[in-house]
Amino acid sequence: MKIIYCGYRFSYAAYLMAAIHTGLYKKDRLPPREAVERQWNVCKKYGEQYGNLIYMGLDENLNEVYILGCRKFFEVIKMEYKGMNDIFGIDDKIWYIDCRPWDGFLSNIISRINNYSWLRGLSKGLFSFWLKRIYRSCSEKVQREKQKIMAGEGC
Amino acid sequence: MKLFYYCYGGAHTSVTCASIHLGFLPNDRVPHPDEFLAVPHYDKMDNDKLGTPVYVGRDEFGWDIYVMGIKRGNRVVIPAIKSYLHASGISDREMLFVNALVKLHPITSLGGFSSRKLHLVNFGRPLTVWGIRRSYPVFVELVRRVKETISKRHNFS
Repeated sequence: MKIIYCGYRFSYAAYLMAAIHTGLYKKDRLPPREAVERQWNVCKKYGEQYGNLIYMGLDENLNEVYILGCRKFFEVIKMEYKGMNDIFGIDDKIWYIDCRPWDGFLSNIISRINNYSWLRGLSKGLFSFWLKRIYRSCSEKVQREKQKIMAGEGC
Repeated sequence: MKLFYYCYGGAHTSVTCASIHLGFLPNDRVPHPDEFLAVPHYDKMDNDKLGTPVYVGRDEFGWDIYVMGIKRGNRVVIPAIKSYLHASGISDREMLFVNALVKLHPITSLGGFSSRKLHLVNFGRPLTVWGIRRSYPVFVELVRRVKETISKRHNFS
C-alpha cells in the first residue's frame, strides 16, 4: 500500500508526519536540533515545489510512505490517482492523509519570509516554534492513522 | 499509449480538442452549433467528478484519448500524476498530456461557469458553443501539432 501525506506544501506538516510515521522522528519526543534545521533547509530550498510525489521510506508494515505538496488540489489529485489506477491497471491501494490543517498560517508566513535572505534568522526561529507547537498533535494524528490502517478502514 | 487533453472543467475545450482529434468534429471548417451538441461528453462533466479522466476513443495511431478537468492546477496536478505513475513503474513514454486551455473568449468561460457550476444549462451551453466556434481554428492547430508529435514518436520507435 502507498500512504501519501498531503500538505499544502510537502515540506511542513506532511514531511513531519511522514518522518514520525517512518520512525525518522520519534513519536514521543521532539527531533534533535540538527534534524529540525535539516527540515527547515528543505522548506527553504524546495518548499515551493508542488506536485512532486516524494518517497520517504517504508513503515514497519512495509507500506511505502510518500509526501506530496498539493496546494488546494487535493481532491482533484485524489480523483486523478483513482482514474490512473483504473487506466493503467495499478492495483496498489492508496491511503491519503490530509495534513493541510496542520500546515496552518505560520507555514505560509515562514515560506514567504524565506524569500528574503536577511530574514532567514527569523524564519528559522518561527519554523522551530511552529514545529514545537504542532509536534504532539501531528504525532497523535499519525498514531490514529496507523490504527485506522491496521484496522483496514477506508480513507 | 494514452493521450490526455486537460482543461479547467473537462467539459468544453478538452472535449473539443479530443473530438477534433478523433474526427467527431471537422478540422477544415468551423462546425455548426448542433454538431457540438452531438459530441459525446460535451458540457457534461459534473463538478464532483473533476479530476477523473474520461475515455473518449482511440485514434488512428492506436492511442487512447482521454479528457479531464483539473481546474487551474496544471502546474501541480500534472507533475503529481507523472510522479505517481513513475513511482508505480509506468514510463513517461506511454502518455502525453496536452493543455487544451488555450486563450478563450470570456463568453466561453461565462457559459461554462453558468452551465456547470450554476446548472443553467440552457443559458450556458449555447454561450460555450459560441465562444468555442470563435476560437475553433486555435483548437484545430493545437490538435494538428499534437498529431505531428505523435507521428514523430511513431517514426522514432
